[in-house]
Order: sequence, then C-alpha cells, then structure tokens
Amino acid sequence: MPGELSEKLLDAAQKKSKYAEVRFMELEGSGAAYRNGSFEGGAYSRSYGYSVRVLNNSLAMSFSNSENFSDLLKALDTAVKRSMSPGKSQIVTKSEGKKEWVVSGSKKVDNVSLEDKISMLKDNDSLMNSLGSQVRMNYISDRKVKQVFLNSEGSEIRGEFTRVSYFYFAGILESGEFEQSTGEFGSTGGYEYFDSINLQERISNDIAAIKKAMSANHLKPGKMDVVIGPEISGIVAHESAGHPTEYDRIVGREGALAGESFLTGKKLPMRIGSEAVSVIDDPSMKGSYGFYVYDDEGIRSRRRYLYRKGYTDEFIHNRESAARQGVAPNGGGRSSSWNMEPLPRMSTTYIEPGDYTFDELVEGVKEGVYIKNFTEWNIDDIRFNEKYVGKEAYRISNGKIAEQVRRPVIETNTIKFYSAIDAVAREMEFFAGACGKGDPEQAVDVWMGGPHARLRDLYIQ
Amino acid sequence: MDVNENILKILRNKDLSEYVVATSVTDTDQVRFSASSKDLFNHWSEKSAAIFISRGRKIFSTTISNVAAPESEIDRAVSILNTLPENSNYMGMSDSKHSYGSLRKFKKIDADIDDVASTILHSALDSGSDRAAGLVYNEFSTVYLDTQINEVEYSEGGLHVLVRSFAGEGTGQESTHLGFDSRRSVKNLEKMGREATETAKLGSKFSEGKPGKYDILMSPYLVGNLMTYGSSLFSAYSVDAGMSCFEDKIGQKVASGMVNLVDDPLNFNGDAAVQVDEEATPTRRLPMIEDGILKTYLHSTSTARKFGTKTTGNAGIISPHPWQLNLLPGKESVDEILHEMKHGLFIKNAWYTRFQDYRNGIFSTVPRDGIFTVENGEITGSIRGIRISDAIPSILKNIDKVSREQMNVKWWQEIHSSFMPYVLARDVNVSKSF
Repeated sequence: MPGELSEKLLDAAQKKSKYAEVRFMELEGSGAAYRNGSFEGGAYSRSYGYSVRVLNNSLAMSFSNSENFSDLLKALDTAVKRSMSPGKSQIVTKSEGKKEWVVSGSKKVDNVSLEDKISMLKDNDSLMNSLGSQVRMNYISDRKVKQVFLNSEGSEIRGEFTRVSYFYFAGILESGEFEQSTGEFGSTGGYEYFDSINLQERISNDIAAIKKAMSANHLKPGKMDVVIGPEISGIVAHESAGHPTEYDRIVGREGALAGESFLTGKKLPMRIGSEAVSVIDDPSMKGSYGFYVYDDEGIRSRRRYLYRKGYTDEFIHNRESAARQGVAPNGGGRSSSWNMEPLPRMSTTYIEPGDYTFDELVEGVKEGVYIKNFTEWNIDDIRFNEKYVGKEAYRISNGKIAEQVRRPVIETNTIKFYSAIDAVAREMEFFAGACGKGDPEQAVDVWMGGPHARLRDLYIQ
Repeated sequence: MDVNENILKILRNKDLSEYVVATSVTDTDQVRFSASSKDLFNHWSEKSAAIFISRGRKIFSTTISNVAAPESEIDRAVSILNTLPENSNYMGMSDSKHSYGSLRKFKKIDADIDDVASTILHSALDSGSDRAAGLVYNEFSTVYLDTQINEVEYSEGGLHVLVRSFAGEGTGQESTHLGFDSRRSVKNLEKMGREATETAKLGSKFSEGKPGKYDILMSPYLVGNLMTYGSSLFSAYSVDAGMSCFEDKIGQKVASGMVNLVDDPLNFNGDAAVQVDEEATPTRRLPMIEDGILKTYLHSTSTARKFGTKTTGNAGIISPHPWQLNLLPGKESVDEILHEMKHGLFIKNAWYTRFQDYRNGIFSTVPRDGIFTVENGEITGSIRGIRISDAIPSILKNIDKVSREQMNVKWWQEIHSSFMPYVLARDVNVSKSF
C-alpha cells in the first residue's frame, strides 16, 4: 500500500541525522475542459511519493516515488551525505504530537459524475456564446490529497482534504477590438460550493461588462478618489502584503527567483499605510480555497495579522524561516506535492473589513472612479511597484456611480496605495487563485478577495 | 519497450484508436544558496508515466506513479474515456512509422554542483556584492516513449546555473544553461557571479524613471522573457482558440526584416534540446519567422490536419509549443549598437509579464536587474520604477538592430531555455508608477 514505508523510512533517517522528517503525500486529481463549443478532453492523475528532510551540518531533502525500501534508503543516503556539507542548519524541530484531520464537504468529489461536470461546462460555454463571447474556455477540476507527516520529535499528523475549482476565460472581438476576462472560483470541500456562488449569473454579468467596456471611454489621467472592488483589494493584499511578509523572502532565500521584499533590511515594525489598513492571512477560514488544519510541516494553522492598523505585524513562516527569526512557526509551510519542499506561503489573504457599506464608500466621493475588478496586473520583485488594469470600471460623480470607463490603470507603490485607504467596507467576497513560488515552481491554492475599500487622491492613468 | 511493457500489454487489449505512453525516469540534483551560504540540497529520484489514449475523437490523459502495477489506473482511464463526448477539434495522432536511426544517446553531465554553487557564490561576494542568491541544477531524465506504432528512448537534461547579486538597492542577475554538447566548462561560469555584481553596483545609485517612448537596447534575458511569454501566440492551438495576434498572418510581415526566429530543438548546447515530440515525431530545426515574415505556426499532427498542413514536430498533442527558441544573431556587435544609440534605455531583464489582451498581444512587464539610461552611446545612469507597457506585434516590428553576440538564457519560469541576442527596439512605450 502506498505510504506504508513512512515509519520505517523515518526510523532509518533519524539514525543518520540530528533531526529528520518524512512526508508521504498522495494526490489524485481529475479535470475536464470545454473550448469554443467543443469538449476539449478529460484528465486524471494519481501521484504519490515520499520526501525526507534531514539535518546535520546543513539541510538536505530527497524525493522518491518508489515503494521499494532499498530505493528509499538510497534516496535517504544521498540526502544524508549532502547534509554533511556546510550550509544553513536552522530549523524548528517541534512536534505537535499525533493528530488527524479530514475535510471532504457534503457533495463529495467522488459522488459527482463526470457527466454532471461536463454538463456544467457545456451549459456555461453555451451561455457565454449566447452573450457574444467568441473566445471561450471553461475548465473544472477537483483534487483529493492525503498526507502523513512524521518527524523525529514525535510528530504524526495525518490529513485528508478535497478541493474543487472552476476557471473560465471569455473574449469578445468587435471591429479589431478585443476584451478578455477570466474568472476563478474554488473551495476546500466538495461540489456544494458551486451551489452557493451562482456561477452563471457571475459569468453573465462579467461578459456584459466587458462588452460595454469595448465602447467605453478612457478616463482622463489624474489624481482622484478611487473605490476598489473585492477582486482588487484581494490581489493587492496578496501581492503587496502577503508576498513581502513571507519571511524567507525577507532573509533573501527566494532572492534569485521571486525576489526579496521591500521589508528586507528595514527596521521593523514599519509603517506601510493608514490606520484603516489591516491585512490578514488565514488558513483556518473554513471552506476557503487555501484552507488547512495542519500545514505541510505538521504545524497547526492559524490566522495572522500581516499588517495591523497600518504597520507590519507578523510574518508568514515555515519551520526554517521561523528558526531564522527566532520565533515559533505559524503554520505557513506549504508544499504543492510530495516532491516539493514546503515554503512559507499564503492561504486566504485579505484586507480586514471595516464598518462601511459599498454605498457609503461611493457617497463619499465627489469625482473619482470605481474599479470593480482587474485584468492585467504585475508587481516588482520586492513587492513595491505595482500595476492593476481595471476590467469593469465606472466614473463616480457626486457620490453616484456614473458611466462605464475602459481599462483605468492603477500604477503605484505599496506604501502610497495603503496610505491612501481611508475607509473599508464590511462585506467580503473571495476568488480562487494559484500562487507560484520556488524552484521547481510550485503553485498552491489560495483565496484572494476581501472588502471594497476607498482610496483618496490616487493617480489613475 | 520493456519499461512500458506492463502498460502496453493492457492498452493493446482496450480497443483504443491511439495511445502514447511516456515513462520518465528522473535523476536530478539541486543546490540552493542565499546570503553567504548554501540553503538546501535537493535530490529527485522519480519514475512516472504520462499516458494519452483516444478512441476516435474521444481523448483522455492520465499520469500514474505506479508504473509496475498500472492496471487499476488504466482501467479507470479507459472507463472514463468511454463516457466522454468527442473532441471535435481532435484530428488524430501521427500515423508515420519512424526508425530514429540517428537518435543520440547521452549521460548525465558529470559536475560537482556543490563546487559550482560555491564558485559562483564566492565570485559574486568577492566582487563586492552585499549578498547573492541562486541555484545550480543538474537535471537528467530518460524518457521511454511508446505509441501504437513507434517506440523511442531518449535523454533530456543539462546543467542550469543562476546567480543574483545585490549591492545596496541595485541587483544584477546572470544565468545559463548547458546542454549535453556544451563545450564550455563549468569553471568558465565563474565570471557569472562577477558580472551579476557589476550590474548590481551600477544599479545601486538610481533615479526615478520617466514615462514615454524609448529606444530600448534589450539584453538577451529581456528578449528571452518576451519571447517566452509571446511563444504561445505561435501555437496553432492559440490561433485556433482565437487567442493569438498571429491569426491569418502566415506569409505576412509580422516583424522587422531583422527578425529571424527558429525553434531549435536539436541544438544540444542548450538544456531544452529534445529529439522527438510528445507523439514521437522527430523534432527539427523550424524557421518560424524569416526576415520578418511569419512562416508557420507550431503544430502537432492534430492541429496540422485541422489547418491543412503537416506537423512541425511540436506536439503537445492538443496544444503544440516551442522547444528551444533561437533568435538568430545579426551582424553588429552589442558595443556598436550601444554606441550608435542617441537617447534610450538599456534593460537587462524583466519579470511578471502579463497580457490584458492576448488577441492584440498587449502586455506589460517589470524590468529588473539592470535598467540604465543611454545618452550618445554611453550608459549614463540607472533608473527604477518603470514598466514596458506595449504590444508584442509592435515590438517585433520595431526591432531595428540585432547583435551578433548570443547567450544561452534560462531563468525559472520567466525565461525558457533559449538562445537570444541583444536587440534594439525603437519607440517602445514605457510607463511608471505614480
């Protein structure tokens, strides 16, 4: 049976190292796609294997998907040999004891037929076509994950969960002009999630909005007040609060890849915005796409304030980065697969809600813009200089939503953005995403979203 | 093939039209380093099989870990296949029998990656950087590929080295990839650390950039990044899906006459070299743009049949892709090109390239690791806070000069292994943060 060699492998590993971990992970995924009126195909994968991490003079890991113990010993010996070389050797070795957790939802992934999934894809493709979208892609997938984490300090954490996700791309072409949109939704649990989000209404509204955007005028660039929607407050929280507070980035471990952080070398805590701004990362939010009870290093997950009332607060840690800062790990060690090292990662990242309604935010703007969601975006590698291009956006005049405008651009920096926020709404909405990091690059499931927020006097292009 | 025999025995009895079994046996090592020491050593020892099956226009893909006892997973795949609708875009796999007589065999490159990592890290630090980060990979896979009519075994891999150096707020990055034929020794890579530090030092004193149209001298890394992100636009899949700015452009001028772009899968100086594609068609050097004229899209057998042409050996069966791009060199040296510039920018690298409009190729990307102002042929300073916010078709048409120097470039997911020169592009739109 796959995984049955975990304990035996740990026994061998701890005899050859100061500290040892064994992680066995099994991933089973299925998906199907529909493109431009045609079924595209289906896919199923089952992947499992062991990772072993050892500490001697340095840290080393080996990954193998063999169920032959002599192969695993060979992989272990490679790691042990390399761990005798000099290198960094800090890691928190704590144990959380023996724990189990399971999340599978009410409409379990095994109980939803492929026919039903394809029917959903087909219906959405037809809907998009009827609304005038010539370029269409719909993709549905689910995943089952089982994991055992053991370490030489006595940890034995067994977890099982399922996740479901839906992605669409819509494009409208008229007279050489093109507008495109993507939507991504997901949850940890089962297919009951899709009963709660009214996907068809979302798709209809989205396509109607990009269709109208094609004939909308651009805004005259200048400083103005801005109301941002949950999709934008979510991507901003993810990119410019979540990533720069991953502690491995702050100490330079991702320096040649996704980069460091604008917080690297700074005196902390550091003011990053107005008092209205707190940003939270919360893997314990039930139903979220980034939900887990224990992380992939066997540490209990919990909510953490990344920014609190305009200042940096806590950082996202795995066992290794926590040791570098000299604090306890806080459940941020995530790995996308058995053959990937756990890194400090986000889960569900959002600006903490305030007391306002959306209408109150808009009523407080004399002349400005409401940017509901975004299309193109990017940010520099220290997570400071960022750009978000509005997809659906409207001018605000005398406290009321006015005509639609096309592709307004927020191109600013992290501190200017958070410093401009003066009010945050109370309602939240979330969207799914895949966050990439590490080399080999590993994408982990996250939720991004949050409340509407209002920014004063921001330059819009 | 013996490795796949258990799987093939089962597949032959499933009344399938076509099948592909690609079992990869991987033996890869990696060293990561940051600050002034090594972070982690990683070793991967894996064996898994990717399987594609079809019955008529019904298609299904699966990946399995248990290559030795695959019955249940294959049974599951075939039972799912039976329930699927047809893919009306699917036109079948290659039905050509190949002999593969000239296929070359390789072994894993013999290199001490700990030593390589130490050499590069210390060359960066000794050159005056505050700190450096990077990694060294030695990748090797043997792939056993069987279809219903072809069988072939080949090797993939190479040595990949990356270093990024930090000096104040300046950064510099160098990377390379060495294939099985690379004549450069690992020791010659020592200069990468020094060059990364030199760039970082040059960028440590900077001013804020200004938006506008600029002539930009693009380094091979920046060109590689734009080509990596733009490469999907050449795929017949993207064209068919309506997501390419090159739709209906075969035979038309899509770039300046300076641009000659080939897919170069048999160039074993690079680590993305591959001798057969995913349906076992032998790969070949493929001209994609000649003197600015678009010659072909990238095809598998299926997309080629739909487009009324022949496969280019670029399967992905459903979604073809390039293997190893090569933007052919020009005649001038990069120093000559720089010397002739009146007013512009020299940008060494970029990341986070994202499109707001695939159809028209409209994107922005964030320059990094060396953004310099150029006045009258000289580098005069360093700037930050800018973006290239333009469109792929415009940049291709505005390429005015291509250097005779080329580099093997590769970096993370941002630059796929490729051979790129320096290029001078005119009137590129630059935006900035406010």
